Amino acid sequence: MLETLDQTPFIHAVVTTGSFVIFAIGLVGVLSKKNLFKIFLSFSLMESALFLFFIGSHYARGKQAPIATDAFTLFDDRMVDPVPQAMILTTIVIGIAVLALALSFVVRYHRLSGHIRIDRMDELGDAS
Amino acid sequence: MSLLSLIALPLLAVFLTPFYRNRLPIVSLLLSLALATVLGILAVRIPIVEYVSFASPLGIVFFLDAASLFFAGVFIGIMLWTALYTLQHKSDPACFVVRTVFFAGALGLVLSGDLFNLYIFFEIASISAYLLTALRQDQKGYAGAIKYMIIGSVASIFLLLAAMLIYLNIGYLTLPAIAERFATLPRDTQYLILLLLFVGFGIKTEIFPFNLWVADIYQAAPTRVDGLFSAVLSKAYLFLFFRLLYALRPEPDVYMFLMLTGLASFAVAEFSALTGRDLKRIFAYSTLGQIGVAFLALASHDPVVVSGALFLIGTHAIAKMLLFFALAIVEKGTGSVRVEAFGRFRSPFLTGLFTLGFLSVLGIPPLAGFIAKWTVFKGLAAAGHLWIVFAVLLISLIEATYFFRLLSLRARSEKSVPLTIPPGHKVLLGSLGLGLILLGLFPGTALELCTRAAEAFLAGVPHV
Amino acid sequence: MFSFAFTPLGHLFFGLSVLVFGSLVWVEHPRKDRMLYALLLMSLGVLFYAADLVTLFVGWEIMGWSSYFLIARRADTPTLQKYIVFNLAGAFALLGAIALIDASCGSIAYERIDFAAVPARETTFIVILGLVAIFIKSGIVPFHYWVVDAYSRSDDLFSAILSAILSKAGIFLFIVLFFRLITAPHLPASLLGLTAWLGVITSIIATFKAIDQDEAKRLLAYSSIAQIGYILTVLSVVGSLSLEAALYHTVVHTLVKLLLFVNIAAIIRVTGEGAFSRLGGQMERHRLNFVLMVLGIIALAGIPLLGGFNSKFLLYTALLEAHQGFLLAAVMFSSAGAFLYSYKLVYGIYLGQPTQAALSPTPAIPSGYYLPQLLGAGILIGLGIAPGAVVPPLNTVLVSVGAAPIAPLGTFTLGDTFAAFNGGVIWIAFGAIFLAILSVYFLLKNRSVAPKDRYDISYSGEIPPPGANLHYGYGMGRELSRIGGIGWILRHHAHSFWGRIETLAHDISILLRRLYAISAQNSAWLIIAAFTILLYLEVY
Repeated sequence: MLETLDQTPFIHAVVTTGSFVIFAIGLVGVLSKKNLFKIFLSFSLMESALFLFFIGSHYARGKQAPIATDAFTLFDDRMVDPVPQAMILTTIVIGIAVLALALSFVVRYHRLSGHIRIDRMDELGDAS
Repeated sequence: MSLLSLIALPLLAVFLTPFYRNRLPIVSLLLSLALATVLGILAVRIPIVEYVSFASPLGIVFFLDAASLFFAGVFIGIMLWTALYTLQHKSDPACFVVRTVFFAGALGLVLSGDLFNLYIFFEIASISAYLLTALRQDQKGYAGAIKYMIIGSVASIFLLLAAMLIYLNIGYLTLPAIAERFATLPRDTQYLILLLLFVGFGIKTEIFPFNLWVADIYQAAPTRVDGLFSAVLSKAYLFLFFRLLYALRPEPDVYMFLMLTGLASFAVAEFSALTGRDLKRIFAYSTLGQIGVAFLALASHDPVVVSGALFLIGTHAIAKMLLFFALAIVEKGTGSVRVEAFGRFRSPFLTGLFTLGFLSVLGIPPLAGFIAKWTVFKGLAAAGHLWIVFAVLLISLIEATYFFRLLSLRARSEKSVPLTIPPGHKVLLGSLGLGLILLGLFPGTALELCTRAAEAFLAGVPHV
Repeated sequence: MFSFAFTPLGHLFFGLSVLVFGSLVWVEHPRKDRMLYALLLMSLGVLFYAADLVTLFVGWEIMGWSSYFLIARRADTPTLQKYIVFNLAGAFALLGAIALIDASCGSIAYERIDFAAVPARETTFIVILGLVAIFIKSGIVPFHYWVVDAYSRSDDLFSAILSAILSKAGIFLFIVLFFRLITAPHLPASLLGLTAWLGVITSIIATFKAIDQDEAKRLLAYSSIAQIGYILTVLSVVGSLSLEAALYHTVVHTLVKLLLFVNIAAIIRVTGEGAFSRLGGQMERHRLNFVLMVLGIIALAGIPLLGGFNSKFLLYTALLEAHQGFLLAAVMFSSAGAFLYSYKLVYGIYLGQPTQAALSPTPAIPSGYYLPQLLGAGILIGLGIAPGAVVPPLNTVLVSVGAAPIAPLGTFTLGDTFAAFNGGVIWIAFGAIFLAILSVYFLLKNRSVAPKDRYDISYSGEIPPPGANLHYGYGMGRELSRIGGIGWILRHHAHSFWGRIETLAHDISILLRRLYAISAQNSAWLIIAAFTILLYLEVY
């Protein structure tokens, strides 16, 4: 039975379902939370879900991670596709940078206004 | 000379900031001149396709064809103008860094040729835009920046999803490879990818109903930054979206839908501007309207209309830079950007400039905007979309209503503050106004450039 | 990009423009507007000498916005808004027509446009759009909303330019579109018939509104609308004689309005008043001005002796020749009304007794004001004596737009085989009778008794208290509102219709603007919702 659990399609199914769930949680967070920190963390969750999904979809049982070592010097069929991994690494970095920037903005905003609730942000708008 | 230098040079200049932190205006000017030179050198060899690191179809791709040359040229021109404008300001590292990264990001967007690269520059441009919004470091700025980041993150996620789907189905990230294989995908998958791209780019291209955040951001950001947003940012994303679209070659229904979206954007934006009370927001709505027209024209997929669209983008960039920078002077002098402030300053020079800007945006001869609008209308009529021409003309009336109402305030300036403008700034602003007049009277060369750019644009991506 | 051709039609209209501008230069004007006036004149040159439709459009637009800034010297925001929105609407309609012409005929150059190959549906569309532009510029009902305020609330001398020249732009466009470009077999007859009737209905409405006015400039504004209405009506008949009549009336109307507006400008300049209820009795103090105005209203009303009669005569003849009996009757009805407002104009200002406001002594009118008036009056007198002298030049214009020339009947005779009159004979006859009556008057003059002061009107059976308003003739025309149809016209205003549209746009705007102020989260909701809806639409 443990054999079944180790098969590629099963792993793919778990990854897909799991990432959808995490994505949904993130989405709900973005759309309904009022605390700015929570909103940005929810975005982080959504992105993580996407990363999981993307990398997980390329998982294949028996293949190696695409890192050149002494044993594996060629990028060939015995490795998992390296392109998604490269792309996601970069995307993770971008995500962190954006999150850091967002949180620093939130901190600065809190210093000036005293709150971090999105429904109390009323500086902008079109007075009739 | 590599295409990469167009992006590497600004970034290098930014990294080396600590070495010349007291002479940044000069550095900024030299950088713009250097980029202009590089672009000129590269321009003769178009189309250029450059692969970095790996050969096709795995590597990172940069393109330069007539279309991206046009946009790169406009952006570098604006960068040069901005550098000249800030020549007399004191050296401000934060402003220099953010502004230069902004231009680097915009150039990168225009030059990218694969999804990976595209996403990176998408984010770089966005991040620099967030920082530019918060540049004044006041509560309004941070509120705007936060709002911008929330919406921007939504856009990133849509784009990321689209990129992932494309890779999962096609297996390649480079645009030429994707273009070849997109039509072979099942129709539902094609639709989903296009929809994700539409929403993701729609947010950044500021199309209705995804542009509800724009007016707030323009209000929060410093007025001159709004000029940059209006002239550069939305246009870069617009270019990229249509580059993708033309490469993917969807069905005609899709084009029709996009044209309607553009028209709806124009209509909603102009109606909103009609009763606006804040000048920055009114100008923001005007920008949204013009983007709608440009979007509509680009989606028509017709060579004449697309060349008109490119001309429109160029002249609108000039006009909005003029309008926002002039508004910044008014803001400093009267202390307000409410509509009433428009009647409270005394400066015949600025009145003339505002008039030129408004008339050009409205598309009234002999300004450049008219040539753009006429080319678009001519092409649309020939292609059989006459009712769209009428719709645009009708909505332009709304635009005329609020612009001329502002001008009528100028005619009556009691208890007004006389504004003094430094001569350097006067020359620069005047040159923009003069540009609008000259392009309107002698559009020949510029139109020729736009026609060639349009041909390259519609042809999709250069193939290997 | 732009092309020009120096045609007789262009010479006629531009010549009139130069005449008007040139004569006004001699009157005082603020120095800072020189650039705008120059720009306006240049735009008229571009418009009238254009050889392709885009150049025409450029001239039309520049004319529109340079006038805006000149009107803005004095007018208030609502007037300005009405002016520019209507004029731009007309301009945009014209642009739509030009785009359609370009698509259907493949070119916008006059030389290369040929409507032979264009399907009737497209031609109809083009005609409708062109007519909208013409109607708006000419102030045809219901687009006359902007005209009266713009004419009456701008600088007095600029009103002369507005009425004398700028109102003719629509006429020019009509001739270019419907005589030069779209030639006879392709013209939709029903639309032209509609135009003819709209023209004369506008004249009737404008005439009665003119009689009802208290301000001199507003009266003249309505009068301008009415006169342009006549021109459009006769043009819609589309034939050589009708074109001749229209051109003749264009020339006459330009001169008449130049004269009358400058006359009013002079009065306003020295008295500070522009309303009949606050003027009166100015004849004694400003005799030359009075005489010039009398000449003006003779021409305006179309009374024989001056050029006004010539054009009216041609107009009626053209309508008769085209068998348009009903139109002719309507035009005559409107012309009858024109007598009333013409008389009101001269009575309200110069005759009767001065009101309290007009009693104070006024300086003499600066001589500069007389030049345009003398010029206008002189040409009108000349036209009255030698009506046929203009026919050969007008014939060259006719030929240049493709119409057949009218056979000239000699320098002093005007008309055609149907009916004609001799101006010289009329002048001789009138001169003899006038001299006879004048001599009788002088012989009898010494027998009358001169009143001691203005309140000495006991011979009329009344002894008014001091301070009573003796200038009650200015209320002339009030009784007209008791007549059924006319009363309805006078009581209803275009404002109620256009005002509703304005309110509608305003409300839509406020509604949509709320969308742009929602929070980031709600924006995100909307984006996700839009995505979901679009996804759903395709899946099912």
